[in-house]
Amino acid sequence: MIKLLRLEYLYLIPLIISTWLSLGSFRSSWPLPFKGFSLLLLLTCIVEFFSILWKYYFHVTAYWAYSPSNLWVYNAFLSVRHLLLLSYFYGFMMTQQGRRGLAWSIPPFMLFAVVNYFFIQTPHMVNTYTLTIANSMTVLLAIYFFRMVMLHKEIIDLTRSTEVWIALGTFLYYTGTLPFFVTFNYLIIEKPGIASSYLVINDVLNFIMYTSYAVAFLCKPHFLK
Amino acid sequence: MQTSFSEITTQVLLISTGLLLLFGACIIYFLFFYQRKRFRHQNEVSELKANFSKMLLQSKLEIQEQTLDHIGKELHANIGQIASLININLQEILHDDTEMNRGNIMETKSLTKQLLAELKALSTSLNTDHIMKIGFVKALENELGRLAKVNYEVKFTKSGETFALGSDKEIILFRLCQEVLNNIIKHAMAKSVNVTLRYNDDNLNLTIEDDGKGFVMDEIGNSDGTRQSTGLLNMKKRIKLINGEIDIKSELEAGTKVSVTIPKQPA
Repeated sequence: MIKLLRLEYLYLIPLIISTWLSLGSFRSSWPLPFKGFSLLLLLTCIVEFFSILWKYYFHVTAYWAYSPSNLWVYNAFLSVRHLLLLSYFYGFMMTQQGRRGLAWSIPPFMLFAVVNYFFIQTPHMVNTYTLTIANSMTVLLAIYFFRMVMLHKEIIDLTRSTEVWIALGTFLYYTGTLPFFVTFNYLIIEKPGIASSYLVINDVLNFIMYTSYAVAFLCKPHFLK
Repeated sequence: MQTSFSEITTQVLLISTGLLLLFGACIIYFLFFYQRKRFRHQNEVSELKANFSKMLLQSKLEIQEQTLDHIGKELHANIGQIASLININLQEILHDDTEMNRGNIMETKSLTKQLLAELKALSTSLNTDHIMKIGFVKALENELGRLAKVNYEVKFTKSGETFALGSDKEIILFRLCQEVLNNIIKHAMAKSVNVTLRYNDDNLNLTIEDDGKGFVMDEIGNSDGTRQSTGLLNMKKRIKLINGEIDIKSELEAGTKVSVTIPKQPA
């Protein structure tokens, strides 16, 4: 437990809080996308704790001995995480075209993610190809959502809307970490010092993202009622 | 060469991250700024619409007053005159006619006198100048007097020191009372009407209560104005125009109570 008391794990606090608050979406019968997002947070929470436990305890037991590297956990969760995130944004697609476009792009993305995980970059290397595609798609979807907010006939209070807070946190994190994840494997080999510094930026952006998710579930949904 | 290439790559990476974060921050700032602008614009439009509605209502009420005033004056001047002439002619016929027709003529004269009295009362109640001259309390008393003549049990209680609301407000309040009393006559099937006028330190409170059949509030109207009867809606709008508040309570078979509060004008 002492090992968790490090700055790099500070983002776990808002993650746990946002997961706890998001469970309210099931109690209050919020629309389906929010329940899906709550499930995403819950799974993220489980995966984060499992990967930390793997790194410090589970990689060596009486029955097996593996490398302490937990990259394989994060890489495996990557496709599930983005599937749930893309499904969340699918719920906000207003146009038939947008819905169709997103629905058609998800299966090839998932297929590529699986192939990349097992064959191209493998589980013990950060799957930057999958990350690049997923992050780019997420950023574009967040921008689409902001456009929808600006064009919506009803003027909503941005600071009190669940959807806006989720989109803001998601947009900031995925925009800020995009160049980092694109070049991560190169940096790890050539400039490990820079890669470590970037990890700090990643942790900060993570903290901001989960905090905005926590705030989101303190507000009320507007678009999907 | 390799070192300078990796340094360049690192620099490009840092710059691109910074630029992307800046881009993200700009988009978020623009979103909030645009939304705030839309919100301000919407508020301005709502305010303009409210002001326009208020002006429209004021104009309508002014035109209505002018029309009622004109009708009142016409009733007094023309129709009242004709009724008087009828009465004079009947008086002349009475002198010359036989015993047999005397009864009919007397009855007709009595009816004509009644008509004259009614016309006078009606024209007075419509005449805005007259109402402004005698004041709200006297005008209301006259109106209640007319109601008592048509077999309603009317009770009028006044308390507190009378103060002037301003002639415009008093006219609107008086017309509202007329509308409430007309509603009682048309719909309530009441036997008695209880009117309480209280002059408090900072406001005037008027309550008109009847023991009629009452009505279900939900069927007549609700707070957001949907499916609301025109009469009740007009009453609320008029009272709002003079910064007053109106409360209407009604129950089936338990009568209706209309309560109006108008703040006192500061000296």
